[in-house]
Amino acid sequence: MDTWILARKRASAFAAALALCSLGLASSFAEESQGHMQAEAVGIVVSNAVSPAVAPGIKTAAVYFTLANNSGSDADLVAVQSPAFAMAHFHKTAMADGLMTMEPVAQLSIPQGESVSFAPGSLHVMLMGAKKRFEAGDRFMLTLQFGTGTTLEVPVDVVKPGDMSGGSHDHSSMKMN
Amino acid sequence: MMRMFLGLLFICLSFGVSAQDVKGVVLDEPVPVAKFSLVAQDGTPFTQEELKGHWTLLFLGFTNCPDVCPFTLANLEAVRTELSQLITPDNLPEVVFLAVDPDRDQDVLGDYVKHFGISFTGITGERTEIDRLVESIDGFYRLEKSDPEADAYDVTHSAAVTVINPDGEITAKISPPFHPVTTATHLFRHMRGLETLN
Repeated sequence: MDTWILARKRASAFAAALALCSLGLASSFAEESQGHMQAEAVGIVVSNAVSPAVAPGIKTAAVYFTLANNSGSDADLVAVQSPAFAMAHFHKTAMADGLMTMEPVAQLSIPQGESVSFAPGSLHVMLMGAKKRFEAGDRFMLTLQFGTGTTLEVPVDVVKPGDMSGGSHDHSSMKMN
Repeated sequence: MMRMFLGLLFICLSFGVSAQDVKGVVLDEPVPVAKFSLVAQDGTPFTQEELKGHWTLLFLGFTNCPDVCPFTLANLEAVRTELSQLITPDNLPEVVFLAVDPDRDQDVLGDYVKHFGISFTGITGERTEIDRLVESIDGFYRLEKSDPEADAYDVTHSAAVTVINPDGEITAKISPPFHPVTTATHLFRHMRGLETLN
């Protein structure tokens, strides 16, 4: 079962609403009142966000999910962070000549109508400097940042090692800042 | 590294017809693991002699590895679970994790390997001894340290799992992604000497 993450935010400024619109994340605008606009942004869908539990003493972790861009416009993932970790980056594991290497991914473009999978041995969010130890069943938040500064907050379910079928089964409304 | 490649014939394996075929090589003649002297997570010596008397799946990595090492070790435990339906517990291959980043691995190695499999063994030790074993299994690793004092760095390393027979000889290598069912089937046939050579 997928977790559908809908981006929804009452934008506080017209400029911010325009930025959302230009990103393609805003699908409709409601009434304008005293320079404020209400933006309802729908279309970025993150499903099955999971992080395998790590061993005691290990401060690094990975997050995997599928991100579908149904927003109607291309989207650029430019940054990621989590309050539960000191650092977070997009990484890609690559195998060449039998060797595993990791490469940082500075920016990831997801064309509208397409999706990208973060999966073991491939794209993943690398988290470093865990502030506490998470065990299977725990949950922490991850913030995905898009090109114009808009963000998407994603709940990540910690699963047993090797159990990649986890993830939320509920539908969540996400904040877009 | 080239010695083994030049000295032996490799035969590519392709088992089954699914999209998750096991990829790897089988050595034409088994090659004994060279002498080495490392230490297991409980502090006991671990040499080539500890590889004898049972099949071994040897994987090389580092404990701060966020993606491939946890995924591989979790899969190897799943492979053992699958194999347990085909062979008796006494004949299950033992999983040995060679930790090549001892500065960061040493203190957490025991908890690390047990996290993935209660029977797993983690080994590490002096750099020269690590390198002996790595060379013997035709493996490779490189600490990607930007400076000697760096404490956050990646380690490029071999992706393959080395298969070692009860005589302490390397018989095969298997490559990711180590899908549990197909890898278990592959290993079962390999351990029984049933691999298809073509």
